Amino acid sequence: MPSPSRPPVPARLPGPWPTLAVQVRYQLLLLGRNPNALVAGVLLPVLLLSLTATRGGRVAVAALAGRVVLGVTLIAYLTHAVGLVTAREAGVLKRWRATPLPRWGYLAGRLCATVAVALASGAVTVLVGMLAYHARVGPGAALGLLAALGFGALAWAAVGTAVSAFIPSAPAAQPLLTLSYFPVMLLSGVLGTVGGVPGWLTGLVGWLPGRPTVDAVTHALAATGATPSVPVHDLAVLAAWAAAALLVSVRVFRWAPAAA
Amino acid sequence: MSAVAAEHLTRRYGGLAALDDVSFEVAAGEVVALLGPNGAGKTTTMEILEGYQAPSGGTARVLGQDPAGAGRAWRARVGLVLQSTSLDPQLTVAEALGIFASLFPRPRPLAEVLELTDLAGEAGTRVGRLSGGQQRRVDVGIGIVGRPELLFLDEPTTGLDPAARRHAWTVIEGLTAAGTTVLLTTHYLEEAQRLADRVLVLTRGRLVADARPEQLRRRGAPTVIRVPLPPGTPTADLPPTLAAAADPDGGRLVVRTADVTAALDALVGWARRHRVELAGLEVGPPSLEDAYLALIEEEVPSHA
Repeated sequence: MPSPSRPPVPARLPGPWPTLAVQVRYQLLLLGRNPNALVAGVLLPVLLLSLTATRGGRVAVAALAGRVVLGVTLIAYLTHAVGLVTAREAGVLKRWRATPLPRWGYLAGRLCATVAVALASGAVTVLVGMLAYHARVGPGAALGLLAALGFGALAWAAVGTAVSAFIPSAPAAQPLLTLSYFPVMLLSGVLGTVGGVPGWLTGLVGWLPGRPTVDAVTHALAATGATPSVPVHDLAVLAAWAAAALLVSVRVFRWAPAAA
Repeated sequence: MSAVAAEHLTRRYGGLAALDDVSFEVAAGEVVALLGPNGAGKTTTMEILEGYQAPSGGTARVLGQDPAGAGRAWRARVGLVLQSTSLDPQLTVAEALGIFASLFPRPRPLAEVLELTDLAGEAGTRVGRLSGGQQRRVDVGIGIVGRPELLFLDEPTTGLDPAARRHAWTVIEGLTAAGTTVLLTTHYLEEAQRLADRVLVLTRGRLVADARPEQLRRRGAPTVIRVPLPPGTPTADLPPTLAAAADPDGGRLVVRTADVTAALDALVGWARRHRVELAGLEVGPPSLEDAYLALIEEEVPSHA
């Protein structure tokens, strides 16, 4: 008969950094095994790049920026928020609440992993654009691109976290989140300029995080020389979105399934 | 000090009282089974004690603290297995156990948890590819990985096959032998009979019994006469005194009666007339299930 071992002397709870490290690794495992992340973050942007390429096999920097943003925000918003709702409705989040894991630990781990995978997706798309489609991206773009993608992914993931609280069930997650995502991104110019849009709507979309993400990445990629180009204004807007959405998330986030 | 102390617990959802003035204690090291039909308030009680819900009235103290406001250190002393499986299907068994183990100050070694849950052969298998019973065992493993002083088990063996259920009982007995306090809910009366020092019975949100299993078995429940019947035995003309108490169940008679002599007399007379052999006849005290069903029927006559 198996015999449970006797407890040794009491020990301290793990500190915040080891806790965060384990949570990030846990979330990276989940994302790495989620086919939606691969499709949304890499395959779809690369496929759209191939459709955008000119007859000479080139892709303009503006088009590359749009595809990069598409992949990054699909991971940061859709994949992240759908995953949160699915985990909540399956009781996974409720189970975590019964452990010594602090509330911030789960969410911080999830956000960090999401931003990391989104950055990797952006890097892959940029590299494919440069190597396969001759996009002209200078060495000075790296820092600005890192900042733009990092702030953009964090803002979108934070918004996704807040929005997930209002999704009533797992089956409703994908359609509702898709409905809230694609109109904003299309109007923000992720696939190019959309004509015939009323001025008031363009103005409204300008306040949402889509346009600043597209503008910031376009700005960063446009740095053809060795001098970094950091789109400060767009980053500030995205940082404000991230902060506001995180504050809302703290207030509205739900750990228990809707039926509980 | 009691591991669990519930005093006048009440939980209302609108006008409905899911729990109504429920009080009980669980001593440290004790195993207590919370029984009751569906909707009786078992899960509500568990969720209040686990800190998921706050009561509408009354107080709950678990390991000396109010669970609704307890912090990380308290949660490190409590283990639980929820009523439904709640696991990430993408993780392997070892990964899932390791991630949860990392949260506790003195977790059990992974190999020990795998052995206790009989999952050593599945350590590298993703949770989503396990059977329902194996996933339930992962749930149990996560519940015990932090060496809890108090373990809440909400229907822990639901979905397990008989052999796995018995293995789980052995594990729980091992935990309690090491001093772990256990509060469990179950629909398997055999499980409560084997594991529990005490049983609490809830019906319609009220606590209607708090007793040791043998006390509950003796408490006013009628003696049980059981006799297997050969196939084709006519039961239509059983004597009225017997027919009223008889429960033809899978080719046997189960008669619950307070007048054993009269019932046996009637039964033997009927058997002689019909030349029915009463081989396997048993007369004895009610099982815990008999006593439980009698109690539920008494409290909720429409149940059954």
